[in-house]
Amino acid sequence: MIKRVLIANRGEIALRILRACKQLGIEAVVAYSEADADSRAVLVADEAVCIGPADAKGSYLSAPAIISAALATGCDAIHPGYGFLSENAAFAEAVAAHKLTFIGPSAPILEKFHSKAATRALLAKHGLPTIPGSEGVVTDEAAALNAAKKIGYPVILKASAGGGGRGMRVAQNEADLSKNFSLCVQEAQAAFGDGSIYLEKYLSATHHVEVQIAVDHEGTALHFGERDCSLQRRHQKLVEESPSTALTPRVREEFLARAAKAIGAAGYQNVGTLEFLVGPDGKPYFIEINCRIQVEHPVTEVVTGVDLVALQIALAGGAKMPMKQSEIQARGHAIEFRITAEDPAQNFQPQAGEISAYRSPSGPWVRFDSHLYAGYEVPPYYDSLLGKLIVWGATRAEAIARSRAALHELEIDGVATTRDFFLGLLESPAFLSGAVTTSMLDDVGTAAILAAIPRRPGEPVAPRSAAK
Amino acid sequence: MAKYRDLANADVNGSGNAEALGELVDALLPILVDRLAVTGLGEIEVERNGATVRVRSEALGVVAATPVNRPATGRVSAAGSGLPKEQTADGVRKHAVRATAVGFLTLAKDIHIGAKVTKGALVAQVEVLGIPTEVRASHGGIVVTLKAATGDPVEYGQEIFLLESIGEAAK
Repeated sequence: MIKRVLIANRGEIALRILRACKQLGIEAVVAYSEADADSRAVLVADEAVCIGPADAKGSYLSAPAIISAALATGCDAIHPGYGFLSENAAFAEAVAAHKLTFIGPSAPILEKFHSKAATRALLAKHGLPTIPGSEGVVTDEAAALNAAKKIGYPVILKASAGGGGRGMRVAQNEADLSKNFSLCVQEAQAAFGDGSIYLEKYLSATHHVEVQIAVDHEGTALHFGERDCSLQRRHQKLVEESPSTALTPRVREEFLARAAKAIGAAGYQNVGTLEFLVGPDGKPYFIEINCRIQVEHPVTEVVTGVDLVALQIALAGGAKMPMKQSEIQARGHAIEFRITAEDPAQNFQPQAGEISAYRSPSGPWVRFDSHLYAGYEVPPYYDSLLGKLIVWGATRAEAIARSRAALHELEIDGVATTRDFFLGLLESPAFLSGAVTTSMLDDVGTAAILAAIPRRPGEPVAPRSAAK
Repeated sequence: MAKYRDLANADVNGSGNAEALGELVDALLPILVDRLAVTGLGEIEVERNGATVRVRSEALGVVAATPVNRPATGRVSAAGSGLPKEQTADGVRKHAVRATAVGFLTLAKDIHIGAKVTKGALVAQVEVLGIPTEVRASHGGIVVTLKAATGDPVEYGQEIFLLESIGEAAK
């Protein structure tokens, strides 16, 4: 049983974990960097501890600082949130070595699922269809050309240690592949310290669909339905929804059951996400696993009513799976919008500065997970996520209508945000039709979406400027 | 000779009631003003019962001292939950020696109130998972207030003790 958790993260997820702990009656201590002394999680927490300077290397990415803080504050567990050290096996091992519980998969499991190529092979063995690709890592250009010939162009080059959309290149033909191969190796080496590259078939017009799973220490594996995260910009997710518009009910049921069975059999533990691409043929192909709670987990929480962070803490504490598959019923439709401090009019350039005015949306079927408050200073050091708007409706159309109202209600002044971009998106025929593919934004164009932002009566025609 | 700022210029900060603060100021101010004159110090700060009185000598040129660091929140939890946030003066603590890491503190043997510290001296260590991290004095001076003791858990940036400078600050 976990009694006292050190929350080793920041922003909205620190607040989300803090709320889960409070609701469970578990004590929580928020670990923060000097730049986050005035963050909402620190202000709301009963206890907080400064672990290092603004530079994440000395704070949120410093295993010694985080573990030392847990020991100094008498915690018995550490929640890493997402990003930072959340999927770092060496960190999980060090946490365990100090007799603390790592809230996530154990170090050996993180190690086992670290390599994307090895994970694909493992889960293929347990029955998940995978995209045709190279058998493991390709070590040189000749091997890459040979593999691509078998797979068929176009192919995508991926860094084995990559993630978050980084370290990927598409090659349309042999010349493309020759040109990109060494570049991709160099980038992977520079970005991840590991130049291993693998190849797979590049599917155009795909949906990115992922399955939320949870596995207890006895291997009982459940799924919590899927999320469609197709709306992406440069492989970064902007909008997530559930259920996916890409799956027929018959495909969905078989697909979800198979995913849960495979991940249980493969020896995974705790919560995680299996990511798939669904091609034009409507078939899901497994691409990778995320061994953490994800940014978009609330979409699943809203349609299933399951508190995934609470479940994650319980499973990490050694609990048996507290529910059966038949008890998990997804209901209606949920959509999440990632509100970030980025300026869509300026190529989504990240912004920092003081939030001069703030009004969060509320009302029935509206959830806004955010660490903002008026007067809060958005620091320049970390990712630009300001909040996640999650809206539920009985149908997709109803969820969209409610989303429009909620986005209009949301007001963030002082920094440019993606709010208006989403209002424009909700006018886009492609989005409204549900034909949201990973290339939709490229096809439609950011400019067209910005041009579609509806004006409110009395509002100036020029886009709302961040400067007051 | 330095001119001393009067009562109105003394910073008083604290969670106590107005009466207690008044008494504190009445009792302390003459002593502090005297002490300023004798020591040639630029600034003196005293803490009693959670309240802080600070007196600065304007002529010594330290009034414009710039804030160097935000105060640590002082909420390392081993101090006990439910305690109010520590009351600090106004965050302008030119001579606070701060923890360089989060962990358990060991003060150097010769650190006590009244001890003279030279700039750069090793004054404490913070143990991070068994590995000591050095804390060195950012200024030379006299230790006037101890804010943490050996064995205490400390957070990054937490004030360990306060120094009053003799040379540098008074030029």
